[in-house]
Amino acid sequence: MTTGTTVGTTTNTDGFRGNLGPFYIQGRYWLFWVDGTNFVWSHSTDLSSWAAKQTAIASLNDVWKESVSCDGTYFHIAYVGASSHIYYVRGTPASDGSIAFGTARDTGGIGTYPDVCASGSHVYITYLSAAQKPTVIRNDDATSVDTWTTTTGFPVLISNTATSECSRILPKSDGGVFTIYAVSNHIKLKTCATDATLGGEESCSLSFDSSSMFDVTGGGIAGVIAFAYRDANSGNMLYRERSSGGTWDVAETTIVAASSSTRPALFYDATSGTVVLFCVGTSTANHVYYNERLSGTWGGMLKAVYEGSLIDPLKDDGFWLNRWYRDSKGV
Amino acid sequence: MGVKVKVCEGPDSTFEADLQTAINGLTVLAGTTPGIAVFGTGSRIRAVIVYRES
Repeated sequence: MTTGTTVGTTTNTDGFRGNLGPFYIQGRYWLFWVDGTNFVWSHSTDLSSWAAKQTAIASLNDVWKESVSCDGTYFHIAYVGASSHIYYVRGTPASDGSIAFGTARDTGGIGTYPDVCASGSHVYITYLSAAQKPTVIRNDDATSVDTWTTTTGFPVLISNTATSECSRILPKSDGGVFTIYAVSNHIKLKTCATDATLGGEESCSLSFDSSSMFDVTGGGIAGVIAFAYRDANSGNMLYRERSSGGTWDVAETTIVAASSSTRPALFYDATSGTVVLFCVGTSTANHVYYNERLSGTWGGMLKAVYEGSLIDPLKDDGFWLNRWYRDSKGV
Repeated sequence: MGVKVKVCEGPDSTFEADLQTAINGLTVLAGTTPGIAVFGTGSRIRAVIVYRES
């Protein structure tokens, strides 16, 4: 275990959102954050020595207003710009730690809490509209043209029910996306095809505690979608999978029983089926729990004591965790 | 005020203890929220904890 290594500086005190890295690509780790003025990044080959921060997007200093995804070639960045318009910019990382950014483009979408991913040859962004309804847009080409032209048929309103939960988006193997959102204490999933056709609404959770947030990961070629969330009735931290064929686990797996566990962070490795889950719990105050599923079997839950002397994980935004877990990259 | 990382590697006999030690030892700026990323497969995992130092 390393001691704390300094990556860079910031004067922003809002913490980290879950999808700003670190990423691993081009033989380097890459981390994005807001530094009090700008949206910046740094990079490292060994996690010990980090380069001086550089500005990715100037005058962007709100942890809820940007999203980064990496498709193995590009960084795709969606962020909230002037007049709450959703902007998109693509960055091409190089092995020397530089990122060549294209021109930031106004997608025409208006809202907040963007989440971005590439799927096939397209980029999709989901966000909450001005009416707080989950919405998705798609551009025409993710690989060859540094522009944003919203495809005919988009934006697509995923749900007509307003929500305060950030919607999420994951790639599908056919170039469409999975859209995941939470309304009325249920986590829902709809597929969105390349022609903007929505699939039927699928329910993941029977009673989702919306104050505890959820995490979802997976999709892509393997197609498995993994969910973790707290049940509103029992208080259990639950895990559930949707198979690549669209079949849901019959029952949810209880990861932490009858506690106040909340704010999960879920990592799924499609190759091995390994699942790693962190969450904050209160069966003993201010603990961070950790468990993993190896070869199909969940282990005993570790109570990693988080003493909370400097931060109350439940009062604040919690042990908000990043999600990046793929194959053997980065180890 | 710095953005910092801690790294734990495993899984091995000390991985969970290392995680516990790492999380216990975070000197987090009050009001901010640590994050974690996990890299690897079941046979080799690298957990990277990202936080704002107090």
